[in-house]
Amino acid sequence: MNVVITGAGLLTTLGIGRETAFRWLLSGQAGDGEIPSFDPVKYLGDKGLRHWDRTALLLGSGAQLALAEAGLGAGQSVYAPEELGVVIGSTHGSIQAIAEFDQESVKEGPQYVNPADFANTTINQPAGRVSMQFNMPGLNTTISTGLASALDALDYAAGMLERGRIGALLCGAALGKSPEINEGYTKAGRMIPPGAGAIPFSTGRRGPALAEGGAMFVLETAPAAAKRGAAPLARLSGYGCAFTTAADGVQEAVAAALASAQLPAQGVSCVIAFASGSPAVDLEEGHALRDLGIRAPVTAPKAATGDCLEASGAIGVAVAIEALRTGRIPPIARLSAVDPDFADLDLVRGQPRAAVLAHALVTARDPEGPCSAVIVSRAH
Amino acid sequence: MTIPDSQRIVVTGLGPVSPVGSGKEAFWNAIRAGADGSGEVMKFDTSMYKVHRACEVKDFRPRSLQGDPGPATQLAVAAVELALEDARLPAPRDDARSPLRHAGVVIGTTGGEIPVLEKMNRQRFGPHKEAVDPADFPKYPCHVIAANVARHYGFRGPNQVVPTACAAGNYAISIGFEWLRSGRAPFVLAGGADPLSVVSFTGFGRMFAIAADRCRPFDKNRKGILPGEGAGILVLETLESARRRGARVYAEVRGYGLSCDAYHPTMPHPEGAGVQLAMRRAMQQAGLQADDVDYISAHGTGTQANDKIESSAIRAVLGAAARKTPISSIKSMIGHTMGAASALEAIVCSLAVDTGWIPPTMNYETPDPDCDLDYVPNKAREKRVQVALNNAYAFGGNNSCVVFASPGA
Repeated sequence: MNVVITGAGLLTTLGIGRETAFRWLLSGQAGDGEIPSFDPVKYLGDKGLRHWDRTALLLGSGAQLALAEAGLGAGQSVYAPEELGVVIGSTHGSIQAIAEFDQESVKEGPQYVNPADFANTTINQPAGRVSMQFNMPGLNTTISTGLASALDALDYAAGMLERGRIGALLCGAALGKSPEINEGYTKAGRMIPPGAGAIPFSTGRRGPALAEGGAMFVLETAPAAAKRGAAPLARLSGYGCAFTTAADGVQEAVAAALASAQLPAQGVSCVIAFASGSPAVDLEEGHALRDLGIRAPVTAPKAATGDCLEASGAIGVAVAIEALRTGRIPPIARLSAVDPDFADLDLVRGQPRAAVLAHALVTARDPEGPCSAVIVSRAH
Repeated sequence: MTIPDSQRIVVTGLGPVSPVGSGKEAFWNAIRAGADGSGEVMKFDTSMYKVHRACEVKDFRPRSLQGDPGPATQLAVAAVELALEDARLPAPRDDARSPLRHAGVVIGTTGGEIPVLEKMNRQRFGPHKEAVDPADFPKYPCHVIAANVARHYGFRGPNQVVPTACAAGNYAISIGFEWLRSGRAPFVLAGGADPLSVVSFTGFGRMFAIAADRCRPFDKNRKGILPGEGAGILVLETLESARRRGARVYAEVRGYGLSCDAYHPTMPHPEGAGVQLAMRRAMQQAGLQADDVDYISAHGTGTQANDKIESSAIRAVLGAAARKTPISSIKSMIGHTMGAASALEAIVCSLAVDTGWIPPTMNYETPDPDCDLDYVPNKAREKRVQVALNNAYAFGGNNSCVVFASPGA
């Protein structure tokens, strides 16, 4: 895996934009589940957005930020349209729109649904809308691996670029706020309301807290970026995946990612952990890092951003990019009482940690089995 | 340029679960005979709808699976079992030394486990207001299909669902192809699965895109799709692996092409620009000229727009060869099985290459000047097929074409 990121758009409950959101992360504050004052018209204009659901709006807005930064905005692109494509990691798609379309038919009768709402019922529709908005007919794929979706989408995108099947890709993931998801996972006991019980690696952690957010990236091969004079923000240098519900999945995925990046465990300079406040998942990740001999400082953005499910990996990569660029690792927001199980991890607490960083590890684990890890490296 | 056997990807097992029959023999016999998989909808009440027919998988008994997953998983698990049997490969289960242990699973879908959500909605908002089982919601997110399959059979290789709607089976095959070429998995179970969905029936019905009686692809009087359900799974491996274990090789996956309309959420691009791009890319990777194509398994949904645009795109890509190339749509028999469609059609392409039979387009009566190609009307045709193209398109604009070829050609 060797592609560069030349643009990034980050949207979190802490704010919008790669640098803004990261500044808040460094401050140690936490968001509350919803992106404040998100106005998609600012990014996408006011035409044709009526049928976009919230997830698609986040993806599109992130895409606009990423393209502008990459110098591939409207009228700027040196690529022909068929050299451009979109790869999205998504498992819930436009679930809110899917549920509401069906509920309308239950309540009012199937002849009363709005046919224009039907489009949103396919899980790939948010990706399709991004392709339409930015005229990218070269490729459009959605990858679903649950909470690992974003990292697996990045790997898919990197593969398509490296094989020369496409010139540049928008790639990422987003999750829009959704009462359906909130109710579904809360009642199933997989989510808790935001608060102290959702702090990763803490003694009192009881589960993850749902939030909306996402990140989109422009990916290119290094030669393609160099040829058009684009300065990379960072490099994707390694990827690994595993499939198991046993507690060694994260370790297997991280080991594979290190091998793919040809990086020893000691070469990892910071970890953007997947830890969400879930008792079991945090433990699995902590043990994986310990057993692999990764001694680098660990942060867990979900303490501040909340759990954006399939988009978590994309947010993790955006945080990794900023950490590498600024040499600062954000603290795990609100973490004070560390679970003794994690005594041997170097958890960043209180203040940001300043360090010279070369390689950041980003992890993801889905309860159904998929585990993935990506190594994000400094561009030069 | 010779491609080494370790980089040549072949189909060695076929697992169809379809409205006209399941398992390779039953499915292929029915498809060659022009069977009709349609009937009055059994799974839900259609009295509130203007149309009442669909293509359902009959005689399907859901099995007792851990965690009581949804019907997409049920269909996929059954298709994987058939594909493994056909490939003479035992499921690894708990055998850590099984060669299948690190097999990958990649499954395409349109709605995933959407019947789970539909059931919840009827409990919550239907006339009888019933309690929802809190364990149900986590059974819905679509990635569970591949995960459930892998946990059931003991596969630990890469595991993904690719929800690129009605082109998803082809996308899954393209991903499996790359996993094998890059050495990520020694075998891949690739395909698609979709159960009949109320949401889909409602939406297509409301768009007036469902035929009242039959699906008539390329016929002048075509009136739309018939919603269907099913699953299709293909065992993929390298030619090197197939030779080593003495496996029967149905066909080689010679290449694929993907593209996106980037035009409209549900309507196809009027010139089929993306459809053409996908076909051209697939043929380029496979090193094919227009004359080399012996058969095209069309997307052929039976809607006015799709069949006209697909025909004109085939003319644009194949030129003079288009009129000599047999094209058929098995959707005339099994309906539109959504995410399973292009997987079942990939099985058809593999069998066309293997057996030298081309399935018919059934219900074809009245020629349409907009669709003036050879659609193999109403009767299967015996013909040597060295190269078959599998076309599939989707809401969202996702286009795809996969090339299946005789491994000796």
